Amino acid sequence: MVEKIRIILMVNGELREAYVEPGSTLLSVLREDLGLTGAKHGCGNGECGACTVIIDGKAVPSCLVLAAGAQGKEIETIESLQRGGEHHPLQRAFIEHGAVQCGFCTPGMIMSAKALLNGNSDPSEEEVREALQGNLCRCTGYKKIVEAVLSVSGRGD
Amino acid sequence: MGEELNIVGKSVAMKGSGEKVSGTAEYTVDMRLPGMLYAKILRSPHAHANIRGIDTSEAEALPGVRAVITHEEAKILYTVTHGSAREYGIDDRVRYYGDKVAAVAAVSEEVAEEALGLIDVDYEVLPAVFEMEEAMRSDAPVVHPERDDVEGNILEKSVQEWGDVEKGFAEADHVFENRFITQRVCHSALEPHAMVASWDGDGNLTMWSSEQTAFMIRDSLAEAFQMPRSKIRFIVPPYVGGGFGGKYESAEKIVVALLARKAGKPVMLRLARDEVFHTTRTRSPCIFETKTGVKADGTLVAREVRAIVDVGAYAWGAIMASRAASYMTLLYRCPNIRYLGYGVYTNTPPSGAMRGFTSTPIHYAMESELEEIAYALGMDPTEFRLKNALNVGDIIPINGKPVTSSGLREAVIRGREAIGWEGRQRVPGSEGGAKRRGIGMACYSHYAPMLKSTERSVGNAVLKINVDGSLHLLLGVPDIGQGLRTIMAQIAAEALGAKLDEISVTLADTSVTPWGTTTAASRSTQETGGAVEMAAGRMKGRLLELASEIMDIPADRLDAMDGVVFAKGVPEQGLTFKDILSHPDVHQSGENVIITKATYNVPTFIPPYGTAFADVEVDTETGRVRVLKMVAASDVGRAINPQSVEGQLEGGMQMGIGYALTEELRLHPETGEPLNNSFMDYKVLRAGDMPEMEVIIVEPVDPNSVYGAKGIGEMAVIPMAPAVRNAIYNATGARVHDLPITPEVLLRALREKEKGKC
Repeated sequence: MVEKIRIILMVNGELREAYVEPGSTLLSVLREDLGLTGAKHGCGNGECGACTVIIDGKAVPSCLVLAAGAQGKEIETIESLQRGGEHHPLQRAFIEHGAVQCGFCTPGMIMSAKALLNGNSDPSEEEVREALQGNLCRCTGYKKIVEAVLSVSGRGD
Repeated sequence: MGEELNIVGKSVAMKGSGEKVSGTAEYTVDMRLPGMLYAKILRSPHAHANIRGIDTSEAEALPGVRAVITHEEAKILYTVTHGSAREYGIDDRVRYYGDKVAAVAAVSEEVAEEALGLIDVDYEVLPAVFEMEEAMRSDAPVVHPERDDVEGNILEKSVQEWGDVEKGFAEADHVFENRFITQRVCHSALEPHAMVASWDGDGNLTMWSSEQTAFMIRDSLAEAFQMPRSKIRFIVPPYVGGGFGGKYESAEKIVVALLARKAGKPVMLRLARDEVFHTTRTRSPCIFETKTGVKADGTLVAREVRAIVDVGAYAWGAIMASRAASYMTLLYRCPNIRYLGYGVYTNTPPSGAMRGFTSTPIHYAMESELEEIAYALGMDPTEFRLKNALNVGDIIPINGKPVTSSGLREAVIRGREAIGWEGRQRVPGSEGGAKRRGIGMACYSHYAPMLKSTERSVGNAVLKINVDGSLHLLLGVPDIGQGLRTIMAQIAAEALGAKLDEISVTLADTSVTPWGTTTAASRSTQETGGAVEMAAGRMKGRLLELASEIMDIPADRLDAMDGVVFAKGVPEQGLTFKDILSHPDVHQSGENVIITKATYNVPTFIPPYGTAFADVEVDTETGRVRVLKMVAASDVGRAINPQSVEGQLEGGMQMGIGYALTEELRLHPETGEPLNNSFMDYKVLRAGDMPEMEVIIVEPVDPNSVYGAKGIGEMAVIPMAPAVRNAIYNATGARVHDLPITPEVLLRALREKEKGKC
């Protein structure tokens, strides 16, 4: 077996320590070592977006990032959104607009949407769709997801 | 019905969505049990081979490996859903590229994967067959030589006939013939298949798995392992990341259970995405040869379909071909119908149920042909269909039952308006230019349970009330993401007069919930929902009796709403459920523990009717198609949760446009190796690929169903592909027959059209 290395990650504002194999992905460390199972493993190749987290403000598929390489960066996962038992406005919008069906893509979708809104508080529908282009959903046809994101940005109904 | 409804018919947020948006919803892959091991499966690099020998000694010696199994221990027959869906845990013969050869349980997936590489297999490679028509020849390699009940590769041959088609064609003024070919597609649920098995010291097996049924699998496992059903507990975890028919049948459950028993530890298997693509069930490729006879006025007089269904190396059962005949009889009146279908084994990925099972492909063929016939007769395609549609009271030939409600006419009228039907080309392909617009449509009807008069459709429900008036609903079928949990709670709350948010729902645990069928075939709303309504009605009856004694008012003058029992007409003076159950008389008698249960036999056959319209732009130079707008107008009887119905139909458009234009699991023509088993290469539509979408819900409340509702989950996909295809036809006049309509397919059809002119 491969020798493990010690890494320190800044996840959701906290420093977390883990002993991992040098080739471990950030997704696997979040899920297996840090108990943050909100990011989902949908493909392992960065093609479905179910594992999306925000690193230094950008939405990235965490299955393509080496955990060791994410040291010194700010990592935000879906678990950081709920504060004091209250859902984040994006989370509320997803619930209210029926943007959630099976839910497996939902954490990744919300993180991609959050990264978009952080940099662009008033995106057009086209910009929202473009920001979600890396996140697959097989249940909803995306309409209610796009509507949920737009409602938070202030462009929605 | 006329009754006023408070909760049924209102859009409510899906139960569990708070957990899903928070990342705390636990799916099977998120489970961790103490000491749990991880499994990997060695998969065949040949499409057809005998396993002459297999040496696992090096793999077993690898540190971290806890168990290795091969066909020597795992050649256990596993039958699911129908007796003819048979597959061994692991066989000594592999029948497709990716078939199971051996399995390893180890302390991590990495170690298990490494161990797979140390297994030495001696394959005797056999000739393989990949094309269904070739597989039907008498000299073709035989995929299942061990099966005495299968002749050659023909799993089933089905001939079904109503009336006299020869006579019908003789009476026809025009006869049209076509040959359509549809492709193999994948469900592509976002959650990969996952399962966990654990044995206790007394030899009881518990399994958790991401599935669409619990009880049927428990029964199959009991049969395979020769164990009493009571010693197997099969649990579908509360959250399943999509199903669409694809989470049903895998024989991996035998493998994982055997690994767990051998290792003496719980074992988890989670399939990698490439395995999900080509080793789980797929939608069968089909060939349809169609023939339709019409009178000059557009009356259908004869219809014939000859179908070949490629069922792959393992099949759902001997209904893959025969079922499709039903869908020739549900929608249109036609006195003379003949269907001839073959289900054929090939050395290709297994096939099974997929949304609109056996219905989506044949609808594509039939609705494409009907569109062309309408234009050939100079008729409006919508009027042509309505002229021939079954009406309320007409008998549906497949099972002799009458149509009890139909929203087709309203759906067509409203759909036409929403798409701008008047903007279609009156003569397909008559407008010039490189880029051409066109509008097309398709209709559908679908019903899966009770197609034969011998089939039953039964739901069960158990409802328990707590002393504080809150409720637990126990049902045997899982929620696979479509919102079953929510609408069952809505039905219970409505029928009982309870508060929706005080109802908890526990699903699909064979040791806890009542028996249930499957979350498939769009049957749950009607079948399980019917049982929920009855169980809730019984609970209400008992609560009113108790309240009657306390309030000294006859029970028939009481009613309940929002968790309060009150005298009719005086809602402000009532007793809450809690007041009733904690009343000293009730409490002391022990009557406050009320459990009601119900079994509901679906009384009749209640198909929905609907339509889809597509507006497309075709670039005739590149062959690219852009769907600009889609409208789905569907009869759902009554929408229990309208937002969920919209979600189903919008999702159906994503899957249906993909079926029309982009999706196909391709195999190497000589080796059977999958060529595009990743989301990079298998094109599932993304947010930016979707057109403008509009959903129209039509509610011809059916007198025979719970609150008048019909199923919609499967139906949502069925009309989409033919509507897109017909819009392309309208834009260009090109007669596309094969799916998916890639630029190559379309350019070929355009060239054929040009040639036809010369």
